[in-house]
Amino acid sequence: MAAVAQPTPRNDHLGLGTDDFRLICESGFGDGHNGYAHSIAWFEGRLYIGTTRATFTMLKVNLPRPDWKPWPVESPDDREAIDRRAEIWCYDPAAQSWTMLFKAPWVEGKQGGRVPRYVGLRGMVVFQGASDAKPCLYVSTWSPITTDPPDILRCENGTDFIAVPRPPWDESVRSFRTLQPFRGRVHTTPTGSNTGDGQAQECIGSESTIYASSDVQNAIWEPASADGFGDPSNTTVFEMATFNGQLYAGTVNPDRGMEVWRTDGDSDTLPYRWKRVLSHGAWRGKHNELCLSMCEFKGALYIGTAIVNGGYHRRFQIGPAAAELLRIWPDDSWDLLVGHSRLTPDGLRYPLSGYAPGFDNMFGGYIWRMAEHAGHLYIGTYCWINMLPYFPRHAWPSDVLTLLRRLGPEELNRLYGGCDLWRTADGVHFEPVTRSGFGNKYNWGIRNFASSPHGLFVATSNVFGPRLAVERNAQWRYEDNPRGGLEVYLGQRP
Amino acid sequence: MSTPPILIVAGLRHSSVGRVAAVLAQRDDAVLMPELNLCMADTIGAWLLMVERSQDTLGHGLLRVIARQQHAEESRESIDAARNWLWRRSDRSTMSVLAELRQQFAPRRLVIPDLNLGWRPNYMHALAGFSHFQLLHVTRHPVLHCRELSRRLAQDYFIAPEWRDFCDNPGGVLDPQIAWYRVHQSLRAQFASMADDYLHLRLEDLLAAVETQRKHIWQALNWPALPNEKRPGEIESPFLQPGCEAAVGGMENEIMREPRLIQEPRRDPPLNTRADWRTDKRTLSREVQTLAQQLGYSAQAQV
Repeated sequence: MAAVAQPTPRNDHLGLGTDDFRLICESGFGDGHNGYAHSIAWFEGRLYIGTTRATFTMLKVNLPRPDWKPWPVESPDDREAIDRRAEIWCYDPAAQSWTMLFKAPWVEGKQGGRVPRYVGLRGMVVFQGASDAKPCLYVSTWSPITTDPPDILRCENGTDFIAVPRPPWDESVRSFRTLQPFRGRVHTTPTGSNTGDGQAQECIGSESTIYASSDVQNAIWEPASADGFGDPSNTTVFEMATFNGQLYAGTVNPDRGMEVWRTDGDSDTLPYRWKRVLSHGAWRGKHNELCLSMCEFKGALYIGTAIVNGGYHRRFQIGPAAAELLRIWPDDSWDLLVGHSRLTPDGLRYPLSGYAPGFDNMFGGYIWRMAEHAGHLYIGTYCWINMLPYFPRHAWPSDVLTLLRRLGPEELNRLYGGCDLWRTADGVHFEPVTRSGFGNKYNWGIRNFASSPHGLFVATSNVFGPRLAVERNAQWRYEDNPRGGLEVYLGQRP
Repeated sequence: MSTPPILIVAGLRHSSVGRVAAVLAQRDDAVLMPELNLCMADTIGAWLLMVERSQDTLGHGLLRVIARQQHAEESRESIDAARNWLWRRSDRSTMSVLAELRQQFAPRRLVIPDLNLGWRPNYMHALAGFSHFQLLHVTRHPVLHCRELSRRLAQDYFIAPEWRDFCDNPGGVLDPQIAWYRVHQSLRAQFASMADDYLHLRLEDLLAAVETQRKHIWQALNWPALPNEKRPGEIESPFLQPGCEAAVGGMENEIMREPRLIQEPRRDPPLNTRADWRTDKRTLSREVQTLAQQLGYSAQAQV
């Protein structure tokens, strides 16, 4: 029987370092197909994680298909040959144990055969709607094209997840992500689409309207914004957050670079009035194609940027480029914290931290997630360097080729392999918690955080399981990868 | 025996930082160091890894100093020994090694040029924790400085992103004014409140009257007056020349080619001059002009 752990007084306010973290879940809950800890929530004293499974298997059949040789992870040509049903796991800190509470059902596919109802669970939030007796856990989902558009899952008792109707989306919507409470409503927007001809985009929605509901259980949804804020080049509203009493929303804009909008004023009438705060990717242009993450911290809203598809947008051929970190103040002014210097119409900006994009890592494609914990902001990145062996070399950027020639792929992977986790107390001085995915280079991203009374939970994305393409004696073969599959760490400073 | 504080001479490349340090170190109670770059890492182990990965000569200065201090010569063998000396201190903080050097050269004060300090808060934070130092912040007129930087950078095979403007341009265009602003704004914000231990120097003031200005600087830093001062042209230091093959650097190349400060009359252009290193005909940015004025440069031409 596991020992009962009691919350103890800690010194997390001093900032967590690598040695303060311990691994509490490895290898995707024992199944390497669980590659993404795609959603997380602290709910009624327990940690909930929703997974997305076998993403490389899905990418292999979607269009445009990445030009990877060999395919990095052993994947059958028939994606339904793998059980892709998304899962929800729950961690009880007292018992220090995990329980799987939900596994998506099989449903009859539109072309026959059984298909998973959900292959991913991309967002979670605790919210009490008008017809909820108490705060409930709501989960956003990701559905394959061969079944209906995605629903919302609702959990009231901490163990049972029931589907409630989705917002009024058409068939092309395949996933949504953020569920953002604001003024008694929860807000969401599509973030993944598939037009039915294999042209799937996991980060581009088929519409970019924010929908709001004060009663999710009864599916009363209304538009809270115009589509793309009136601009078709805002192809998706990707991330939302509340800050300074307003709702902030960040877009994907492959034409000019991401935009950030906020509600303007205190009207509760839908749709809201909106004001644009950032445009043109904060004047970096398309290399800040996407507003990926947002987090309020010490009086400012921190913004992490990206290019979709991990730093290189295949369809629009944007990038590769590493991500930036910005912050917006209540008066709509903004700072560049990590990134490239520039003379913008808003004034001269240089990275106040001193770090170039990706925290000096050209392979750092995303500033993926951020969270405040005990007075520090924790920032997780995504790093694509361990994909290098599978990429077509003729397409590599010249700076990467220069590095490769100098150091060789193994040394490059040793130096840069694995994602970063950084922390800061002021947004200017940053300390690395890990620059190697906690010593596991297959942890290519920090995908989620949950701050709790027990410490800071950090959940990774690790898609390199269960069997990885490995080169031995100039021959590629698939081998079991015991470090493949998502991991979860708990950080607490004694 | 008291150990005087070290003097860090900080600025941006191509602004004669090493020459200023050399001129100020022309005293019997001072010794000129090359660029040590110790603030760029927390520990000696991290510093060694950093210089090993770098294609630059970042580590040459410190290796040369240690080689001379330990073996009284610079050779492949003594540089290797210096590297080993540092490896044995891998777990120690870089600032503790700086303190050790300070003690070894006492009672003479160390004068250390530094071209990297202002680039990052972490570097300045490391130095601020050292406490036994004075800082001379050297600036050069932004228009003249950016013109020279642009000319020299344009000859380089690779131009680091720090020297480019990435506004809506994925490749960036060469424009050193952002770097000029970044480094000088950062140094000023971090150190200007140190009262007697921070001094700002416009290079143009020094070049107009080297000997007079040098005395003023020594006085402002509260260095004692000495009877036999060397003339500014009589510069001698092994670090103003290239080192052996194993560690050739330590100072900017241009300074090792010509270590003397050449007195010259002042010819400051107006601050709203066109940034003629760019093709888009824009003038110096508003922020750069404002900072330049705060640093004592006139908006009008000065001759």
